Amino acid sequence: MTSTQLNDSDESRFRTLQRARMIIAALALFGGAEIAELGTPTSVLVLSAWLGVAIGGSIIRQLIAGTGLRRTLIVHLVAVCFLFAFLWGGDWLVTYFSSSADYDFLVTRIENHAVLTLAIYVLGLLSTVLFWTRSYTLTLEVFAAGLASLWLLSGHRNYQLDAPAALSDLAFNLGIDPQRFFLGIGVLVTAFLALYLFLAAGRPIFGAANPVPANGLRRVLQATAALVLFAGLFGGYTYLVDRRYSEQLSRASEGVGQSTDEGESPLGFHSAVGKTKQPAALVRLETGYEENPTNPMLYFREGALSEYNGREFVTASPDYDTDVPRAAPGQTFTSNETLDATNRKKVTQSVYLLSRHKSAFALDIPQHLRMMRNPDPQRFDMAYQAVSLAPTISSQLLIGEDVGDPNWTQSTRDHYLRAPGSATRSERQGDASTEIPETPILDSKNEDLRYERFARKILSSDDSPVAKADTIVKYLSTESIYTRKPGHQVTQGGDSVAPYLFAEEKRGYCVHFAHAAVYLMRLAGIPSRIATGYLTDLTYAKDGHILLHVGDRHAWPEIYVRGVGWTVLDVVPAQAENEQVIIPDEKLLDELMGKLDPLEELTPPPPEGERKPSLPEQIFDSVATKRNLVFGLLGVLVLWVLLKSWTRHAYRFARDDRRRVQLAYASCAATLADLGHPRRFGETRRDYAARVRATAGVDVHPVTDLNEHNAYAGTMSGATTPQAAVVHTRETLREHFPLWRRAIAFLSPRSIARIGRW
Amino acid sequence: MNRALSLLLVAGSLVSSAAFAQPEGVQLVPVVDGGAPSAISDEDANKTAEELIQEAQQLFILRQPIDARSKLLKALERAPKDYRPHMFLGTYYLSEVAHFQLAHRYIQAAEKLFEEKYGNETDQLDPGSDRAKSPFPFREHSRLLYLLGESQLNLDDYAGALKTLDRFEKLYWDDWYPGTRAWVLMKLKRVDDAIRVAQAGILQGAEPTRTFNILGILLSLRNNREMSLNAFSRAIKAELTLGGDGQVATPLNNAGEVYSELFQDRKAEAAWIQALQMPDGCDHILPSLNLTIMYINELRLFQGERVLSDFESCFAQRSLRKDTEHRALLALARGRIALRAGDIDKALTTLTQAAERQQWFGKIGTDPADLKFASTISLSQVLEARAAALRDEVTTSIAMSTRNALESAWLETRAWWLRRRGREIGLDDLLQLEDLSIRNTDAMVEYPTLGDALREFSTPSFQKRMARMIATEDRPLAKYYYELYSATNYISHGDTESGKQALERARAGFRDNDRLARAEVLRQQILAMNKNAGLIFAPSDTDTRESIRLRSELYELLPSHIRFSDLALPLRSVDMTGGAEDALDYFRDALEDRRFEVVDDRFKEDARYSLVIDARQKEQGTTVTISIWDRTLNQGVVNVSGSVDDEEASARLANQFIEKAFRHRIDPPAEPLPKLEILEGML
Repeated sequence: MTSTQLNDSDESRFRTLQRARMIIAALALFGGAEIAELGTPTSVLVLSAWLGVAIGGSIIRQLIAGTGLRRTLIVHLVAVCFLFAFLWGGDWLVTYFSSSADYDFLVTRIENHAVLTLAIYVLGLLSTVLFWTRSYTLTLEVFAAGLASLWLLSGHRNYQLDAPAALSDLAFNLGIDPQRFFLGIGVLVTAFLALYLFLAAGRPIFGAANPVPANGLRRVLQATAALVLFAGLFGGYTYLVDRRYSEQLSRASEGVGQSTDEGESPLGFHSAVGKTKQPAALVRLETGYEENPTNPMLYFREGALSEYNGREFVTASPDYDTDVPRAAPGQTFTSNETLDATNRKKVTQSVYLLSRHKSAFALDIPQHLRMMRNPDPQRFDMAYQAVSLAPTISSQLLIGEDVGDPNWTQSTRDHYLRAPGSATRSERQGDASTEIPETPILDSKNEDLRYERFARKILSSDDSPVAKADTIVKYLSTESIYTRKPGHQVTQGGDSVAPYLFAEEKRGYCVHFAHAAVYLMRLAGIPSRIATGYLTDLTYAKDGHILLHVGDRHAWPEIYVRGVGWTVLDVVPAQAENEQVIIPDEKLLDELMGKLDPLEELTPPPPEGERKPSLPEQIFDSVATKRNLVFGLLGVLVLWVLLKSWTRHAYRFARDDRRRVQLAYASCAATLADLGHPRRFGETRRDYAARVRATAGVDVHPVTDLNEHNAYAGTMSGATTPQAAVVHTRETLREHFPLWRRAIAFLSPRSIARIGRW
Repeated sequence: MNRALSLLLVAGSLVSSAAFAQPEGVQLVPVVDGGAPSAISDEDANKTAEELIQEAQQLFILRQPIDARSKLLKALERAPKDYRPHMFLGTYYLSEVAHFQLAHRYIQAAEKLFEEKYGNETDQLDPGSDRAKSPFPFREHSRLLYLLGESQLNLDDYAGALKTLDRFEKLYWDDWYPGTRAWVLMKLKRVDDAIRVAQAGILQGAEPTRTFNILGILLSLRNNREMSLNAFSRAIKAELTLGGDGQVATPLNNAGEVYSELFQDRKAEAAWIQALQMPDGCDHILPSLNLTIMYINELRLFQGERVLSDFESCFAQRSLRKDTEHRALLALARGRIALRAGDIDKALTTLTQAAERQQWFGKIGTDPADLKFASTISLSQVLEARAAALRDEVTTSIAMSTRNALESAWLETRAWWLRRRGREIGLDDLLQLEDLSIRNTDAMVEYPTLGDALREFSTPSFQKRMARMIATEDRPLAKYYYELYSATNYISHGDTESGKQALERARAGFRDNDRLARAEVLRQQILAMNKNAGLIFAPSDTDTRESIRLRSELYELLPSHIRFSDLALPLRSVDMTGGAEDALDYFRDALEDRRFEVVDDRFKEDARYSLVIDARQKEQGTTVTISIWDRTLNQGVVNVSGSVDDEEASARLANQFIEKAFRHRIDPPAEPLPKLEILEGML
């Protein structure tokens, strides 16, 4: 091992990197302590890691100075012996000489912590020594760090927004949207690793025969390119998935997203990937609602889907479902609906949103909505109050009632009865078949007639409409198996309900149940629709405070009972493969309840208006736009072209002959490097010229001669001009490299990496 | 230039990721009606605070607490300086909602407003004070101090609660006071003072139900168990006099715990069963949990599961209560039953739930560290068991075997880490492992297998602790558990001779119904023998016979212990019938390679079980039936059959058989329950 001194530049880089590694160690340990309980105080472990890194650095200095490692090894050996002697001896002393029970396990307690501390120290030391003596260590470290971060964040995959718990808790405590938080962490980690690579890739590798780094900057580019690819994949994947955030979010929220645009559906038939526990809202009942007919379950309606578009139910135009406010949270709303309040009770609710909502939700039919003062903007996104006329009569008591509103027009009635096959019913006068084949039976509108037959099969014509609806719901409840992974084939534009309803095992979740129920009800002549919103179990409420989760989102069927209005008639499957109810975190509920100061809220609400985003959100929103992305990419492209052009043609604009010669040589060398024939480290220009002629057939001797003459003789050789030498080289290049190769070479970063170093 | 480029690329990645992350903005929907928004009407708008308070009180009586709460909040708005709405809200949150922070906030506010208006007890005791001359609402003041003390107690502010009780004592006395003071003193570790206060309180006419109950607990802390039972008996009697309002289950449960400490297991069982039959039997999980733990120790696992299910059903009927208080404990108990029963998947699911951060189990007097310790230790045992289960899985490809091997190694590593964490919790948070005191704490671990979880302690210190505990233990039966722990520690450190001696002592002391303990002794004996078995010289015939006998006995007692300890069930023979040779060979090879060991002919008579494989070729495939035959009972004890037409199906069937073979099959018969002297003349 040759000894060498650290020059000033290397010394500075050495110290910077040592400090960077200490910071990384500290972050990794604090992060690790958040994820897995380490037991030993994190500060002790961080100090131990720092000591390891520092001692590792000291070992490197000894290597450089050539003083050998004997003393260091001896010190370590002695320390380890001392530690084990202390532990073993201490244990012996305590065992034989201590009479107090408090000291029985004193040494064991120390040992527990000492082992982990020692392990961290050793890890810090070894990794530092390897870092400075082996070039591949950096790659391994960066990949390990990248993989560890990926593993950590991958708990968040498939929109499990509450995993990993430590990070989602942190996001929640900081009042940051978890999705943005995770994304932010991913970007920060990527940027940090890139920065670390940038700093570390050009580091000297000690202990080699020639400790001056070879191809250091090439490593920078290679490593940076790998990271850019990583970031690109990460960003690209996020983009692809995030583009349809609100629809994809439905996969974590029982298949029920938030879109309420006309003609669209927020419901997804794909396998729901989880019932995420991300808190969505805190609702406080200001009025007792003991008369709740669906007790202990409580339905908060957000939207309604009553238009059948030939494939599924979507949001209808505002002419229909006028009982649904279609208002954003914070907007004032007063209903024009006139309702018979006989079987209803006025219930006031205060809603405190914990995540972004597009539409306000409330119990049953809201009469009024108004914004409230937000008791804790750090915690709550917004607060509003709703007054609803909530039903007090059970659907069982409505069995003999009629359905539909006599004031409806025919088109409204038809709207609420439209279902697969209903439009062509007149073509099948007298058809009483109840046979349900495996394959669809399509009518002239390509709608499946099996639903009609199914309804005919399970219903008795003598029953009243509400009784029929009840029969349908009971049948589906008995026969259905609740699962978030029904495993059906979902095709764009296809029928996603048939694989559920006509299968031997009726596997699905609320989206399937609601669709099937409403199809059958409509075909039985019962005006019905699908409602979306939240379903919660009041058993877990505390003092009327209900914590709603994203996973509590639900879709359910409703029928219109004359004199009563839209009535919930939900399918409750008797069998379930997954748990159906999220049990709230009571500690969180208590904490949120504590944040509601009633005296604050009873003051007048602020002026109505759009919610003001916070400063970080404003910055984020202004920077992170598609426009900026496009221009950013364009900027990179322009810069690339400029740099490439400069490497090739800069000699034309040189200020003097000497410089011109240098740039001319650089131009040829850069072109050859891009074509895969770079000059190797330590190779003389003469050797390089000879090699290139032998292997690639390209003649760079003229420009090489010029350059050397220029460098050593100090004068220009009169044999040729720089321009002529470059032209000559280019001619030989064209002879041996086809156009497509030269074109691709323009994209190679090699020449850019070596700018200024020809 | 290079650095600039790199920085540019970094910035580019930042911008690109940030840009991709932009969520869609919230689009406001136009107001629907277009008219002026109208104010929400309020029927209480014209009422005074006094009226609202009156109405609120009526509504509380009518069991409409949410409406009452809303009225009180409005009263607060109308009269912010009136202490009464604060006090009523505090009472409501304290007693109905159990939100102690909120309750404390309201009560503190009430106290402050009260003092501003009337002064406090110090003023009343100062003859020179003007306040002392003015009318003072003593009753309300005493109530406020009571509420303040209760809220502090529930927030674990024992020092604060004691100060409040001192203030109360200056002016007042009430029948709840001695019991509460004794409880607070107990929490402050002043047990003797607490006993004195409770005893004095009883003489002064304190509320007998609560005070006797607390006295019983205090006496048991001082190991005065007979008197403790006496006190519980008085508490039960007092509760019974209250009729439907009495909470008899609490002192009955506590009495059961004392019986359990005394190793009078049948009396403990009787007490807990009696507690569960009371109207308030499922108000708390403890009677069910205690009973379940006992059943686990006696390997009455199905009965234990039934107890937990009965508790859940009973609790569900009381719709006002939530299950968050005991969810973690239920999960822990279920997990341990599943582990002993051999259902590893269920054990892993439930124990992971028990260890989850979100489980909060309310105020049942148990230290959260106890739950953490128990769930950490349990989870480590389950992971070890899962690793063992993976090792005996019949695989169909090298990839599968490799995956299992890697996963097994990972599980072992995690189990080691969890054991380490368990040790730290036990030492740091649980006062140097006071939970080792058998049946004398609120610990939720099964004592028989706790020694295995602590095997990595250094032998000198561990043995010293065991010696100390044996020396200071006044209960003979408890000592055998310490011997078992000592043995486990010795054996794991290679000192098999000392281990065997300790095991012999333990084995001699365990009773017939200490089945889990006996199973653990057998397991340790087998492990010790395996450690002794040399690499070069074969074990002696005596040792081999002994090993066969022990393993057979262990299999009869607790089959899962064989599987999860990486042992093999000794077999007399593998009997193959049916004619489908390929299938027979496959299953014989698959099973012999794993948890089944055919013994040498010399030892046939010592082995109790045989493996019987029947494979018959049929039209739809090969029908295979695998069973274990018990020679002693002369009957099959495990039976699995299925149709196999390819290797995957065969592997599935073989794994099914292994799974079933080491599952708990039947509970031992229950023993008759004695009459409880504490209930003499009462029930």
